[in-house]
Amino acid sequence: MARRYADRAVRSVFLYTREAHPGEDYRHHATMDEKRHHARAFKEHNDIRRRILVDDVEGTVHRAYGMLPNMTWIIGSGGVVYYRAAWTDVHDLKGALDETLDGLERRGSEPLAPFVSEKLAWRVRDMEAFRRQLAVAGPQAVSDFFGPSEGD
Amino acid sequence: MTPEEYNYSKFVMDREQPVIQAFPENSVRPGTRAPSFELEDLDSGDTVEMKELWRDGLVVIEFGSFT
Repeated sequence: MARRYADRAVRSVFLYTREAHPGEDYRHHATMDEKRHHARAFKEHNDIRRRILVDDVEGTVHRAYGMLPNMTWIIGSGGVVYYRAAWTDVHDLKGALDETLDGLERRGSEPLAPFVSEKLAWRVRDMEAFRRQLAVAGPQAVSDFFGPSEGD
Repeated sequence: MTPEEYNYSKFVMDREQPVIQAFPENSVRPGTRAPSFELEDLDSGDTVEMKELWRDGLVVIEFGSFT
């Protein structure tokens, strides 16, 4: 998706935060070196091609933007926020990106005025995939979320 | 919030729920200006001002971690 929209001058970056579900193999960060190490492991494990930017250990950026574990934002020239989502969902993001680009392109020839529109969106919740993802961090990450018996 | 509180060692759902519920009020709203802070480029180690990301057009910023 990032490559498709790169042709339309849209940058895409991944902002690395605290560990949402720390476990024995990927513990919480105490130092910036630990955070960098986890970010590199994440990049390699998931074959991330996007630029990865790392927040400081205090989570300055993450806290300022709402502190949820997998948010997504579309921000434009001058820092105007066009979209915020409490959860990253490709379908929802694609719709927002297409609408934002369409408005920006049309406003040059049409009398458009922006307005804020909010909604409650839906995402597919694949708990088995989530369990496998948690297991990468270690058994603790699984048991902290699903309970001790589920993590055994 | 201390760095130790931010970087918790154990996920607790009861701690996460208030953050989820506060998100509409406790984050940057559409139509407002995004705050800019310094970040570190993982590959180069360079310091990056967030405002450089949106200077020339749109940027999609996804937040997350390995876990």
